[in-house]
Amino acid sequence: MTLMLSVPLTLSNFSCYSPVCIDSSHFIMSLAAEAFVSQIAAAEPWPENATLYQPLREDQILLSDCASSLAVQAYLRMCNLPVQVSYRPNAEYMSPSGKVPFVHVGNQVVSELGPIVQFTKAKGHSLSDGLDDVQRAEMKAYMELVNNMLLTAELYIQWCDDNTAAEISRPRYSSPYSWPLNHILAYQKQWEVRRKMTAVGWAGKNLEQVYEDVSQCCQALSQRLGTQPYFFNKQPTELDALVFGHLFTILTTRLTSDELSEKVKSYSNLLAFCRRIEQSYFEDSQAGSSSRGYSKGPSLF
Amino acid sequence: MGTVHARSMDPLPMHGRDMAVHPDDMIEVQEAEQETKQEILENKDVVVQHVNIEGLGRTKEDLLGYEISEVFEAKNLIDVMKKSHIARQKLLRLGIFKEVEVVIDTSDGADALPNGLDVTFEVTEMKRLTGSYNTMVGNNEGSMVLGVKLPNVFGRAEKLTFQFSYGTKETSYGLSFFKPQPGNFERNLTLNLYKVTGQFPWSSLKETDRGVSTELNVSWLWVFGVTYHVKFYFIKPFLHRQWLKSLTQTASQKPQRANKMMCCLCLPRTSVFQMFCHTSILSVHLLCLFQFPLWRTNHTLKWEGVWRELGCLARSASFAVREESGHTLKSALSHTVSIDTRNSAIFPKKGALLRINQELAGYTGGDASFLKEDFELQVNRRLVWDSVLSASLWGGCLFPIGGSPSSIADRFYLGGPTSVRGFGMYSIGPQSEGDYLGGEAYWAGGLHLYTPLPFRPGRGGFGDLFRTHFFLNAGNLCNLNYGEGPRAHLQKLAECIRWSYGAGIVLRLGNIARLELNYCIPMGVQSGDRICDGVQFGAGIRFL
Repeated sequence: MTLMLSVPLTLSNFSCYSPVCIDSSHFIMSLAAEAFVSQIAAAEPWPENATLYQPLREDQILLSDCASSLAVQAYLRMCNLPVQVSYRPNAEYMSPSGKVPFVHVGNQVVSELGPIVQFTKAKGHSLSDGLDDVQRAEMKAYMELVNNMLLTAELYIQWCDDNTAAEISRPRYSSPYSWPLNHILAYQKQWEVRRKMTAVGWAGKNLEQVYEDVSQCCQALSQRLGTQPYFFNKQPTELDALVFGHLFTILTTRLTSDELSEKVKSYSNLLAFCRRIEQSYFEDSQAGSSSRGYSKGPSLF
Repeated sequence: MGTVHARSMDPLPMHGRDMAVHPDDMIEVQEAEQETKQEILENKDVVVQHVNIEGLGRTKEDLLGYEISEVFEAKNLIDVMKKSHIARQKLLRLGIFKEVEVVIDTSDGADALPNGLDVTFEVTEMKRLTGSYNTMVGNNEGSMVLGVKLPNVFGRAEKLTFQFSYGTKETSYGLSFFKPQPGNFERNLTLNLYKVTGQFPWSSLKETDRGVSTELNVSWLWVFGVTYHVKFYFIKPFLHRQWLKSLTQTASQKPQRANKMMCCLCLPRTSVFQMFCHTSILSVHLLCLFQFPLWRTNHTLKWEGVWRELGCLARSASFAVREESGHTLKSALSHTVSIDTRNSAIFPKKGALLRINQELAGYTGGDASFLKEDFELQVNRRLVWDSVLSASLWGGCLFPIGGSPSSIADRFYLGGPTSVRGFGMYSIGPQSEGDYLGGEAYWAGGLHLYTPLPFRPGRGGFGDLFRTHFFLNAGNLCNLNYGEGPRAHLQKLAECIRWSYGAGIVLRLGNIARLELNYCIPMGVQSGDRICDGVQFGAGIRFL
């Protein structure tokens, strides 16, 4: 109303000055505009200063976020796309979808592995081009399995298990904030995750059942992997990145009990798989201790 | 005002035995009669024996004693009437009575004096719970306000209010508790609990604040300030200079004089607190220096704790705004001193307003840490033919403490129909991809000439609500690099000044707000500013 009246009706009056904001930025972009923008994204090459944002590594990040972030980093390394990692205490709130990690590439901000894979595909980089339709469907199915089982189990253990929540999750999550905001935010996050668990039907489970589910998921992955180096042929795909992210983080994070990592360790081909990916894609940056520092526990080696 | 009963005590003077009365003598005698009658009313000494208040329910009597105590000092009848009127105003000001009526009667009873009077205030208390619905105009926004009020909760003029407001830019609700000091209504304490959600399209930002604040209002005599001022003007500055000298000597390289802002950042926290206190005292000195004619200043001391949640308003928000998203906690102490000698807040004809505000955050907890100063000055002068010349100056500065950068929610914004006219709302200064980020220092000035409407239509009635006005506005907003000295800062604020001129019509809304419709011509536009040349509409409370 009154605001619209003060918006200029003609932008061309001061042509000697660079045109200022486009008014449509104040309103929700239409679908056509979004398609236009993603076309522009496709046209630009991957810049040198692409940045990935995640919560603080030493004090703040939790198991589930660390796993997602590692998965995205592994994927980008597999695609040979350079990315810098930036640690921000408010990374979760900066993200457009509320989930970490997210990448800032040129003018675009994309979060979570799925959309990032789409985004890189639009730029012409893809790992799953060599797959046929059946394999692609299988890959998607396994990715869904990891997201629904492993990720949900991680969230459950972090926030629904009172021990872990009190000793690890809440203190870490609230570490950048001062009193009393730290308690408010930690409890808010805990209630949010618990509500989500109820929505997916995990509220009734207990810890043993969750460990059992994790074990079954690992068994399915182990069977699919078999003796191959990667899940599909000899080339890694986004599924490999995702599985690596979760398993490596589980193996190298110290929780209140070791049971979760023991479940994974019992499958030796998965262990070898993680080791292989770490050596191939993360060894080159050992000097910056980037691979060791993903978790607060000791490394795999 | 009430019925007045008075009985004369002295008999009327009798005429003399001389029956051949001269006409002049007759007149004289009559005047003498009238004069003596007047004498009875005005100069007759009275004693106020009793002052009663009838109709009290839950109000405690000790509260009212202060308001009516002056009536006892009245010496004659006119004085009694005047003082009762003042007492009635004071009782109404408490906000706990719907109506107050005054009855002055001669006293009767066993201890009644011949010239004794009884004054009775008949009051009607307000109901325990009242509701209200109104519309409110803020700075270029409007809102509907629903309120529930409990006046006089515990009997001493405390007030509990709950308000819900839904507006074009903001939605908020809050609970407020107000307690005046018995005997001194202008000294009061307010406790607030609130939640405000605001949307700022010029920055693509949305902000949710949940907070609690405590506010103390006092009003001082500046006479105090004189002695204070004399003591401190000579002694303290000496100490002040010594302190500054010791600071610059600890800084490396050549001792730069008055590099206060640099010192601010590398000072330990205790010194910044000292600086806050010094500046508070300094602002009181300034007021005394300017010799403001009014003898009262209003001080407000406030502590505020706010949980701020910032977020992007649209997916296309710039990355600079996206980086500011998240939660912060601000715990701040602020002090405001204001003197208002204007005869009206809207369309003042004479007088001046000076308001100085400082806010110090970070010393009582929280994440945000800064010292923020800003001032507002307005002087008005009447010229020929009912026209008024008004000049105003605003300015402010934000010093982040401790090295962390300032937050977008704390910075200053400039531009719009309530500030530098001719520019878009808050659309001057540093920006990123079309989102305005605000600045850490600003100044803005305005020169206005208000005249009544040409040919004065509707004079004495509706036409008096309008004025035509011709204005010249200027201002600048920028970020300061605190590593440089104050000279570099002043230079930066002086280059690239945005200014505008124009004319328009102003309408007064009640006693608080005004609407403006102006034709503006902006000048000095820098790249990145959004302008609104041509017709601009504005509504608000506080205008440059």
